[in-house]
Formats: sequence, C-alpha cells, structure tokens
Amino acid sequence: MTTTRTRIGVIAGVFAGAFVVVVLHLWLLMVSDHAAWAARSDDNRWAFRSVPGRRGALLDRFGRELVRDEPTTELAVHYVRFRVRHPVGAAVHGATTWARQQPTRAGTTYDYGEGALGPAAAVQELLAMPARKLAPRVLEKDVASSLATSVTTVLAGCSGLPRSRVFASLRQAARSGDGVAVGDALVPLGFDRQALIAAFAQRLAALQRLEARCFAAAQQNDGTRPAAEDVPGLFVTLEHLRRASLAKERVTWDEDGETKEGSLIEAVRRSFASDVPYEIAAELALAAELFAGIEVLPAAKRVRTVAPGTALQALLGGVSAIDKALPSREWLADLAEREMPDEWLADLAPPDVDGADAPALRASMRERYSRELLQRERRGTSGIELAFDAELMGRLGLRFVEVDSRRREQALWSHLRVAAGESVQLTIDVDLQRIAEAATVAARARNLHGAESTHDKIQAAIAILDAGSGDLLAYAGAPNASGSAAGLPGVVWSGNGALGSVVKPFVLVEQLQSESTGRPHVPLASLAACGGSFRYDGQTMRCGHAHYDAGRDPVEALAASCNLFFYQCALGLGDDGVARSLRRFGLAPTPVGDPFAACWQPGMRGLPASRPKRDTERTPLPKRAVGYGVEASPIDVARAYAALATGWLPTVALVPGPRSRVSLDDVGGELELVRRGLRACVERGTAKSLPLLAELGVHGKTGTAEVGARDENNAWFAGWLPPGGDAGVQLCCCAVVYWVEDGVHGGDAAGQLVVDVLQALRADPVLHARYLAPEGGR
Amino acid sequence: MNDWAPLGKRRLDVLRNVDGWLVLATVAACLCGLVFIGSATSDDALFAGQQSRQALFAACGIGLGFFVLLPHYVHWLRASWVLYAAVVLALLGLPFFAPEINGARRWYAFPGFSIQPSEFAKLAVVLALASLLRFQSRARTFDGLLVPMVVTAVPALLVLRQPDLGSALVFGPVLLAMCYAAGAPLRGILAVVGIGAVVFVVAYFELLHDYQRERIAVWLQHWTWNEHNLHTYEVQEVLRGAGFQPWQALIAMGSGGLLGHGIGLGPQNRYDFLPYRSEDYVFAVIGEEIGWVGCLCVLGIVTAVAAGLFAMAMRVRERFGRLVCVGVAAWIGTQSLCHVAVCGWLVPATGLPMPLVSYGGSSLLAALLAIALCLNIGARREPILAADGFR
Repeated sequence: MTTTRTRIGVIAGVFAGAFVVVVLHLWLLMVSDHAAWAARSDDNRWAFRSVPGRRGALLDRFGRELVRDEPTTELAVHYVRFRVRHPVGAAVHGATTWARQQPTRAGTTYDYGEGALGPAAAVQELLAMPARKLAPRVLEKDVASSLATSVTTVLAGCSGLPRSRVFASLRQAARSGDGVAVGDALVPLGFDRQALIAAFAQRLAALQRLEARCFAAAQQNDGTRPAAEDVPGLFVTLEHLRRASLAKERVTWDEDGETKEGSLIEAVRRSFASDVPYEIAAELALAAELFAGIEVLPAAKRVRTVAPGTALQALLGGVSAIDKALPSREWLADLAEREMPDEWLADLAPPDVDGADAPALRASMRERYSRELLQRERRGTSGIELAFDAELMGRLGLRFVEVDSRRREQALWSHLRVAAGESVQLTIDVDLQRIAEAATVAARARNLHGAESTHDKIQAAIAILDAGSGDLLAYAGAPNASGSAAGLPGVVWSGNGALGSVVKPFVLVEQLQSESTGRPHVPLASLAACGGSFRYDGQTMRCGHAHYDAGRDPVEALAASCNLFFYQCALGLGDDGVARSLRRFGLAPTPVGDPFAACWQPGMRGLPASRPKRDTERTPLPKRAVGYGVEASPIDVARAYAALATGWLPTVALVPGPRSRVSLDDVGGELELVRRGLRACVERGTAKSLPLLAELGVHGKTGTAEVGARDENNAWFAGWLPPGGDAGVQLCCCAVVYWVEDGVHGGDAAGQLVVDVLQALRADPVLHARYLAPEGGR
Repeated sequence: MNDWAPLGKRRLDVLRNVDGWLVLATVAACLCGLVFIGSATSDDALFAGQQSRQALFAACGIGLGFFVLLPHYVHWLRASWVLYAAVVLALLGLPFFAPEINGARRWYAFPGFSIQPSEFAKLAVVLALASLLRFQSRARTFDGLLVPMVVTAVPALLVLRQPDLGSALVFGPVLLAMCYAAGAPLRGILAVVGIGAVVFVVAYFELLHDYQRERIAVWLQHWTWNEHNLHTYEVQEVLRGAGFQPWQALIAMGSGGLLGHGIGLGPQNRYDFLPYRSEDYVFAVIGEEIGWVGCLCVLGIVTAVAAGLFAMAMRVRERFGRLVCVGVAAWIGTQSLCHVAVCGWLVPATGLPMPLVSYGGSSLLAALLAIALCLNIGARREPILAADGFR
C-alpha cells in the first residue's frame, strides 16, 4: 500500500505531466506555428484606406479645360453591417426569418419596397413574434441566434437603449413564458410597441429622405453629374443586396476560362449615389450611428465643359470604374505592379515584421492594392480618355493603417501618397471645333433627302489640320448617333467611303513625275481631247462635261475636274503608277521595303479612324484615277492636301509635339503646277460657285463619287488656306457629305460646309486674327 | 516556544516558520497578475479600474490572510462545516438575491464590490473534504467516499446552475486528488471517475445551456479546420459567433512567438480583439506580450505555488492539514492548467480565471485565504489529530 507521501507525489506527478503537455502545446502554437498566427493577427488589424487618384485634365490647344476631375463624395452601403446594425435592415431580414419558421408562411420574403411586405410590415411581423421563441431549444440554434440579433437591433435602434440592456429584457421575456411578444419586452423600461413602431417609421423615413435628396441632387443635371437614371438609389441597391444576401451570392469573375469566386456580395461595399453634395455627406458622417452600414467615401468626378452629344464629347470619350471596365486580370496585375513601386513596398513593413515575412507581406499588399484599384480607381473606356489613360490616370492613394476591433484607425504604418495624373493638352482648338460642329450639323440638315429610313446614311464630316505640323485642330461629324469617336461620320465607314475627284491632284503629280523620270506613262501631249465619254474594256465611262482641249491641259483639267484626262493618265501609269500616286501621299498602305513606307501613318493615337484602302478587283483602272476604289477618312485626305500645300507630308496627331514628316522634294516642281490647278479650281473651276474660297485664297478640289443605287453621291471638298494668323497655323481641311442626292456635287455640299466654317471664322474677330489675318512671316 | 508567552506573541512566532518560498511565489503570481491586468485594461475606459481594484483585493487578501494564518488551523477544522453550510446557502440564494449580469447570477452585489460565492465554495469544499477524509478508514471504502462525493456534488451542481461550467469542473479533480491522497483505493478512484462521467453526461444534456454545448461543439469542430476550409462561409460564421473569443485568444498567443510583442504592446490586447481578456483570457495576453518564454516563467511561478503546496503537504504530518494542502494545490493547479488550456483551446472555452493572476476579487481573495491557510498548516509542527494519520 502506497504511503500518503507517495500518493501526493503521484498527484504532483500527474499535474507535472499535464504541465508538460500544456507547455508542449504552447510551443507548437506559439513557436512552430507562429508565422501562421502572426499573419492572422496582421489580418485582424491591418487595413487599407484608399483615396482615388485625381485624373489629369484634358486641355485644348490653348490650355482651356475640356475635362477635369473634381473631388466629391459618394455613398455606399455595406450590406452585412446594414442588416445587422440598422433597424430597417434587421427588421426585413428578421421578419423573413421568422415568417419562414411558420409552416403556412414558409415562402414569405420581406423586402424594401412599398408593398405589403415592405419594411413597415416587416417590423410589425417581427415585433409580434412571441418572445418565448427566443428561449433555448425552441427554434434551431442558428435561427434563434439570427432572430435574437435582428430583434435586439430593432429594439435597441428604436428605443435608444444599449444592446446589452435590450438583450437582458428579451431574455427575461423569453423565460417568463407568459406569451409576451418581443415588441412588448421593453414595456417595463417605458417603451411600448407603438412607440417602437413610431420610432422605426422615423428611421425608415430618414432613409427615404436620404434617397430623395440624393435623387434631387442627381437630377440637377448640368452635364457634370450623372443623369437620374444612372443613379441606382438606396432602396434599389438594398433590394439587390437583400436578394444576394439571402442567396449567399459571391462576386465572380472569369480568369483563364474559369469562373472564380470571391467575397460574398453582401460583404463588399456597393455604391448607390455618386457626386453627393457636401451637406448630405457631412450630415451622414456626423450621424453615422443612425445610418449604420451606410458609408461616405471620398471620390472624384469627371467634370466636362464640353456639351454632351457633341462630336468633341465623342472624341474625348469616357471613364468608368475599373471593376466595370476591366480589360483583363493581367492588366490589373500590371497596373498594380506599376503603381505600387518597390521602394514603397520595402518601407511598408512595420518594424516587427522580420525579413522572412516581408516578401509575403509585399505580395499581400499588391493583391490588396489590386482590389482597391478595382473598386476605387477609374480608367478611360473610349476615345482620348482611353488612348491617353496611362498619362491621365493618377495613382490611387493608399494608407496602410492599423485598426482596432471596431475598425477605427489606431496607427498609420505608411502611405502611398495619392498622385494626380498628368494633364494632356490636345491640338484641338475648341472654338474652331464648335464652328466645325455647327457647320456639319447644318450641312447634313441641308442635304437630307428621300425617305426618313435612309436619313441615317446622310452624314457630314470635316477635318481641319495645321498643314505644317499636322496638328488636328478640329474634327466634327453629324449625326453623332453613338456618342463615341468610332461612331462619328468619316472615322469608320463601310463601303461608302469613295473619295471621288479629290484624288486627282495626286494622280497628276504621279503623271508629271513619270514624264520627267521616264516611268511608264502616256505623254500629256498625246492625250485626246475630252468628248465627254470614254470607252474602256467594254464600258463607257463619262465625264461631267465635254471639256474638249481643256481636257488636255493639266491645270485646266484639274480645275474643271475632267475625268477623261485622268482616265487616259491612268492607262499610261498603269496600276502601279496609280497606286504609287496614292502611296506617296499616305492614301494607300505600303508593302515591306516600299520607298514610300514613311508616308504611311498606321494610325492616330486617340482617334480610331479606319485606314485608307484600295479596291483593285472591282474597280477598273481608269476609275481608280478619279477616286473610285479608294477609301479614306477626311483626316487622311486633309493630310495629303497638307503635303500638297507645304511640300511635306506631316504626321497627324491629337497632341502637340515634334513629329516626323516626309519631304516631297522629289516632286517639288510638279507640286507647283498642281497648286495652280487647285487655285484654278476655286477661281474658275468646279468650286467657282463659292466665291469666298477664292476671296480667301483657298486652293482646293471638289470631289463627287457615285456610291448609291440611285446615284447618291459622296460630296467632297479638300483644300488649304494661305498661311496666316497669329497662331502661326496654315489651315488645311477636308469636308465630306456622304450620300447626298443625285445631282448634288462636291462643291454644293462639302464646299458649302467649308464656306460655312470660313464665314464663321471671319465673323469672329479673335478667330479671324488667329487664322485668317495676314501673318508677319511663318 | 514558551507556552506561557503571551498569546499574541505566540501567534506572531508562527510567522518565523512560514514557508518563504511559497510566499514569494504567491506574491510573484499576484504581481504578474497586476502587471497584465494593467496591460489588458489600460486602453479601455470601461475596465480601467480593474488593476487598482485587484491591488486592493490583494491587499485585503494579504490582510485577511494574516487572520487566517495566525490562529491555529484547528479552528478552521472546527469551522469547516459552518463554512460549508454558509457557502451552500450563499449558492442557493443566488437565484433570488443576485442580479443577472451577462446572463448569469454569480455575484452578490454590494456597494463598490461584489462577492462570488463559487470561489469561496472551493475553499469550503476543500475544508469539508479534509474534515471528512482525515479519517483514513473512510477513504479506504467506497461507501466512505460516497459522502465526500455528495459533499462535492452539491456545491458543484449549484455552481453549474448559475451557470458556471468552468468553476464546477474544478471540484472534480479536487475531490479525486484529496480522495487519492487520503488513501482511497484505485477502484474507489475509478468508481468516483465513473460516477463523475455519468454525472457529466447527464449534466451535458440536462443542465448545460445551449451556448455551453455550442462551445463544446465548436471546440470539437476546430480540430478539423485547416488552411483550405478556414475561409469557407460556414467556418467564418462560427468564427464570428461561438468561436470568436477562443479564436482571437489563439491568435493572440500564436502571434506572441518566442519572446512576445512586449508588455502593453500586444495588438490583440491593445486593439480590443479579445473580450474580457483580463479575466477569462489573461494568459493569452501574457502569451502575446511576453511570448513562450514569458509563458514558461508565469507558468513556472504558478507551478511553484502548486509545487510548494504539494511539498508542504508532504512535510505536514497531520492528516487534516495535509489534505487541505493537497486540495488547495489541486484546486490551484487544476484551475491554472485549465485556464492555460482554454487560452490555447486545448479544451473547450469555460471562462475559468487563472488563480492569483486573472482579474477577480473573489477568486484572488479565496486563493490568498487558501494559501494563507496552507502557510498556517505548514508553519505548525503539531501532533497528529487523527489516530491513523501516519499512514
């Protein structure tokens, strides 16, 4: 038999053994698994607060703001917090849960609408619930817990009592067993059911007032705020989130062909009002306790000085939150890596993070930054905003903070300072742009014909360049149906872009140069006079008039736009010669190794214009010399005419700056003759009906291309003004009216459009001085 | 000692024989408690007075301890059943006279302080069991163990009804340790364990509240958690609900590492992620702030107290005194180990304070009084009070 001392020793040994077990467990927990638990501790308290970066402004040629960012606030709802902490959310969810516990009402769902199952009915249902239902083992544990939370929120929110006190009263009522309803549980504390319902109605009305104020603010639409229909509103948002919450829906996205799932939708902030006036945001921020779940967030809005619906607005394009316009996850990852520099990450880690944890921390920071970018940053989605997104996009400011258990900031570890994007100055002159837009609208209106169903084919466009630098000074098109740059007339076309006679100067240059260099050609001296028609390959091709001997003189042929002259030239030049004439001026793509490779401009940043193209299969050779089978935008035609004007083929761009240009020294002499022809066109040729052109010294060419079954035409005019004006700019333009009525020619429609622009310039003293007055040297 | 010396002088002479190491360990444990209660409550206005109140209770405990230490402990033997009855009455009166706080009626409220009778019930049960089991013949038969079982079960079940599962569970090991030390045969011990298991099972279904059963269920569930299922909706719901506090305690301890963040610098503590951390999870605060090494030191101090009590029990020749020391050592050891195990989620969460360290006036007072009683016992070299006490 053991002695007492031995037994005491055994007892002490048992405790010692337990001590060893506990110490070992602590070793495993605190030392072996320390890294995992430290990471969880970090997750608890590390948080990010982001401030959207201010996007750069878009400025016109003279530094005037076209688009800029302004700080503003937006309102968002965090639905989990709303349904747990706000009486209205708690009532809707609690009443739904309670209704579904009753066999006859299992399918009942309360909502945020104004119907029979709205919040007012929900709170009545919930408060009528017997308190004994919250007693242990009456309902399922999860259901009881959820109901208890909802009821406590409603009672505490409507009475103003602390939650602990409310919960104690509810427990007492639950245990009393005398059938008291939860709505009567606070009667001993002075709050009867009617008082609670009245208080609930006030909380609901406060939300309704908030929504009404946000809508009213949104409807003051001066073009700088979103239209009313773009603002989802608080209750619509709550309704959407309620359904997502009940269905436990998650955020999903596609990655590498696989659908990935993220956080629960109800756990992600959802914006319901943007550009909220300061007074509303301030009130909400001060009364945050009364609007649990509703958050005021810093934001930025894009303010436009450009009227909506204009061509300039379409050129400028738009922006959207990245999560609504995400090109790909790889793009987002690249952006995060670019915007979060390594040196910031290196300084990021708090002092107590050792070296082994730092790489994991940095990777985590990048991933979190990506998430913030998705929700808080914007990107350009179209037009110039998209094309210059890299310059315009600011840097999302990020504060890496420690928060406590109530998410209150306690310490700032580091911050990535918010940075504004660069402003981008465009070559567009907004004054000239407005004139051009008005002129295109008027030109289109003048040329409407036929059934209304065909009116969408009737379009007008004009491009105005600086012939010397290639700066695009204005681009306008009407109608602006799509509101996007690609939808503007003349930017993209489908089968109706034939240039007509505006290509003749280029063919003439080639003809003249072929004569002097000995390339294949028909000598000018051997050309037949113009009898008005021409036979080729079994077809009869016509000229507008019989020009007789004038059709053998290059200047007169150009001025009178004699087709026969150019038909004959085409036969001599052959397809190679005609193609070369277009390639030299950038109106046809160049093959590899072509001597005119530098003349081809692949595209223009900011304006997704279709590139010139030729059709050699369906268009006979002579017709190609008069502008059939070749399609180009007014910008490309204006560029080509700028080369005729200056002897240099510029690179057209929307932003100023040094650019390459191609010398046409090899055709210097030929250009002079062509210029005479274009001057003659205005003075006595096909554009003579527009005396202002001659008066202002314009050199230009009309063009008419039959494109329709009923001989509807594309009417063109391209040309340039003499250098002049304070701006040091030589205007060069190309105007087109698509699908004009048969019998309406280039001079009538497109030429008139140009005249309208020039008249408006002359009428404005500032613009007159800027572009038209004689210049003191260029 | 001169029997004719004045009574007061004779009483004060006992101080010379007091076990200094036990006193030192006890004081060290109290100081640890004060430091970490201060750390746990310094940033919280709601609990800001806890450190000073704990110090006040410590001072009261030391003062009252003198009254326990100085008179011969035979007086406590004589008073053991009175104390036991008083405690049982106090426990019975809780549903009628105690206010409901956080869903439980555990404290009698007085102006400026409250008393938790369940803490004093542990001391009363130790005294009562020692009084019963000092007769060795009783301990050697199963029938002789029945009365101690009933004596233990009555207050244990009353405590369980408060509800206070943690404190109720302490009575079991105390009973087992004292029975075994008293000479109960192994089969008797096993019988006691078996009966205890049956009682536990019945209590689980009949007496435990839903939230207590839920704590056990969540504890069982948490062993299946891993990095793959930790972020699922179901697990996250548990972590927001019944699993929140133990999970935050794990985070606090696990993040402490070897040496901790520093006193007052533990983030889980500072930022209030761990509710009631000065009472139910003070060891998690210790782990977070002074790491595994610090935990070892604090555990060492508390173990030194228990070990000192066991050593004293071995030295003491008188049976009643020996059993009291064993009972108090088992109480402090069990409660300390349970508290640490709860903080590490080795056992289900029970809300058991760590003796001498956690905030709790009644717990501290009862522990100090119990240790004072043991010091009293250890300071005496008394003849045997029971006939067969040598064995």
